[in-house]
Amino acid sequence: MNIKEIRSGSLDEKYYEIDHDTGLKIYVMPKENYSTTYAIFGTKYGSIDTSFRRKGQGEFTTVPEGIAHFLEHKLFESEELDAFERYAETGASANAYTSFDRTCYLFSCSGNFAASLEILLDFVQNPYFTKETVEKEQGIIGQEIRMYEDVASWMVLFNLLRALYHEHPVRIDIAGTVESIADITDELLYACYHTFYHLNNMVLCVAGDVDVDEVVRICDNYLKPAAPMEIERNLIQEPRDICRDKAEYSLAVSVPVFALGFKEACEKPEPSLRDIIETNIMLECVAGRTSQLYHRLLDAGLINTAFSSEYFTGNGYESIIFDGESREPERVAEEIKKEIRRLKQVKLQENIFESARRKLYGHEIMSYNNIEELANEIVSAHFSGYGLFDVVEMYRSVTLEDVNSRLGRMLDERYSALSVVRSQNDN
Amino acid sequence: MQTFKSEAIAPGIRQIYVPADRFKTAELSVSMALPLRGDTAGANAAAVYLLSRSCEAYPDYQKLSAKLAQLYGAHIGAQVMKVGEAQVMKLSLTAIHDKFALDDTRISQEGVALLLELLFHPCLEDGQLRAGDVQREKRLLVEHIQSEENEKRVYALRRLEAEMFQGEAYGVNRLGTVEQAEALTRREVTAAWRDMLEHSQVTVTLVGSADAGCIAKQVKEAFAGVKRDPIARIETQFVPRAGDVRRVEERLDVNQGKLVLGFRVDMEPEDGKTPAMRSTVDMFGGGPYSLLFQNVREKMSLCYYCSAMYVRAKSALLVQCGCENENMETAIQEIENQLQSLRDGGFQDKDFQASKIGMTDTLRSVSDSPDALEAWYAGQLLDRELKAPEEAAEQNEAVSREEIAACANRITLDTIYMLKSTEKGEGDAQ
Repeated sequence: MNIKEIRSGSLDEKYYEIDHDTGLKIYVMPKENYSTTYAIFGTKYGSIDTSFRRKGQGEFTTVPEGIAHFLEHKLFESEELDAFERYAETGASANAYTSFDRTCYLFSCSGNFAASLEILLDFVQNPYFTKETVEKEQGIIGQEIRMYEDVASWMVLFNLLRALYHEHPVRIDIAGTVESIADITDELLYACYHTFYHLNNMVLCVAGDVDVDEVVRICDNYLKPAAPMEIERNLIQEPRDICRDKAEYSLAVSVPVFALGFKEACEKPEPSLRDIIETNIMLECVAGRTSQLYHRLLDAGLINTAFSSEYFTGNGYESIIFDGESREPERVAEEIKKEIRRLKQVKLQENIFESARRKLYGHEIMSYNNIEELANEIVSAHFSGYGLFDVVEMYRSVTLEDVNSRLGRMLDERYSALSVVRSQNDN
Repeated sequence: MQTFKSEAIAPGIRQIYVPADRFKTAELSVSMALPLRGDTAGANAAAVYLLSRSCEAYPDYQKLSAKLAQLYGAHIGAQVMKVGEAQVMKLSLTAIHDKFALDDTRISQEGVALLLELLFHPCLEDGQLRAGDVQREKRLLVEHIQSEENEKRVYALRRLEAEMFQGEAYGVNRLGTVEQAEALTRREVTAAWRDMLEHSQVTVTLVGSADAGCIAKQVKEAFAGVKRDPIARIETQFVPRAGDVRRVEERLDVNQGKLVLGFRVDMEPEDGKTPAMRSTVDMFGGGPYSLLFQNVREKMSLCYYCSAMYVRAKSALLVQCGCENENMETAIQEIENQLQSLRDGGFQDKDFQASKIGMTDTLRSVSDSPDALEAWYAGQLLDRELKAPEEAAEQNEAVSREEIAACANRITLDTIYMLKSTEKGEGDAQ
């Protein structure tokens, strides 16, 4: 087992990176004078992993949409006490989430850390599914799916993704559909579990009031050694063009909600840290609070302060999304495109770039207050192949030329689509 | 360990300082409390949002945004809260420590000066806030109110409040109504700003490692420039018990219905038994060990979520539930059954222990987040005595089973609000 200390002098922070003998990567970030501890145990497995095989095996297995999220729900159960009941005895507050490309189980606590970590490692490594428990869950998740159908921000995003993507599973709802989850069986859950919940494909991160030796000791006792294994994900080739340039959905909303997306050419499976930071700075310059566009739209009454932009990317998908609320979403979309055309020509200026860079750098520093954010960022960094402290360093090294060259390559309006959720009365 | 300091720095101005060098930021907020009233809520809200966007030194929002970016993404926020029957307008600043600056910018010092500049020196024309600014703020306020309504869980909660607290100040939306926002005039918004400076109960909260003495001095000097005549303590009307249960039903184009039950709590906000009441509400509908979670959600599968919230400052308890139309009556019945079972002491020791240990854990974790700390003290704005989260955690430990049953007997159902979905198939993607 190898324990490496990673320090940042400028941030006055450190964390430990541990290659555990079982194949699990572990990160521990002690924070002085914090009274809580946050732990997260994650697998690189999300809603987009719908077709896969172990390296060396025959055919790809294709599974129903929403199964990663379903599995997350089911893992909390066991033959005896479920994980929530066990956490109830330690006082930790526990949760889990499934995103497009990962599933994470987490807890935070201010006491009984060892017992809570034991529960986490234990239940995630010991699945228990039966036909009956799967059927019961279908009802509960069905209600969760229906609840999201009323959330305008959720519907506007998925309708946009369905407009931009023909094949890539990023276009499916993370929880699947009531129909797709009906096809989930205990055997399928085990098949997914045994592929993706493999310690080589997972990461553990603990931050806050914690001691690295204690984490290692508990891991030594609770982790089950795993033989090396490689997963092959069968990502269908996604065409460059979009499906359609508009998506409309009706819901009882007072102010229409919109999302304008630009589908980017996905030249490599996942973006690098440099790609992410340059793009974030570019978006701040184009549409952030420091941009001209933001204030022009706000003053013209076309947007409100909910307006924002995002670099939305993961394995095999990459797009840029501008979203917000507006009484005239189509006009906002036109204005955004017009501004992008203009900026591509005149290029971003040094002062705007510097403002954006400083602002995002400051926000990165602020994230160090929050152990939850830190632990999640370490997990993201791990799955994407960079280190936590690289982020701050990258903000120091990015240049205006890099960002301008990115602006020249990205945000091509031929590959854009507008998704709107508005009330029936507004149609 | 002393966790906070609280002192009156001028008449009607209290400073709360939570020293914490573990954070990489300093957070300063100025909260101004006025009685919540239907006729002024909108103007007060519009005024504080307007203040957060420009001032004499940075006369438009874009210039202010550029300045904040230059201060390494320092954040100026405006917020309107309801604490009991007070409307609280808050301007706040979050800024990173100077030592993380890439140059020699004095971030905190400039940030604090900027916050005070925004509050005391907005752009005026003829002694009034600029017409364009007021116009923009009216529109944003209307959309803010409407956008809260887009979120049906929040919408249902607001509707319950409006119905249950009719005739009480607590029934007023903290942002006012759309109609009021649309009708606001320059004169009203300007008057609201002056009213805040002159008459509000002010709380200055500082979380982080900054020079609290120096900031107190800056704030004091800034307020010395206005003619202060602060109002007396803001009292919240106390209604100990409910009369007949009111039922309100509404239909909207939603996929899943929402159910909110409002209860009266026969206990004043600073009663010595409030720790026991907090614990009672947690046993009723807090974590997974609670009666509502275990029975209404898990055992009977009547809803996706079902939880209880204690509104200490208004002596009320609200239960929220995501529920299909056909399950609503059964859910209401079951929620009432579970309250009865709490009154009868019909809960397991292990669940009570779980609630206790979980709540203690949650209370102790407040001190690890500047925002949570700020919110913790903001929740006590009307209280005579402030409590640190650690103290509340200790009191929570001391609550007994008998106190839970006694507290549950002080809870009575007042109003039921049902948001039902209209016929299916009305909202499909195209």
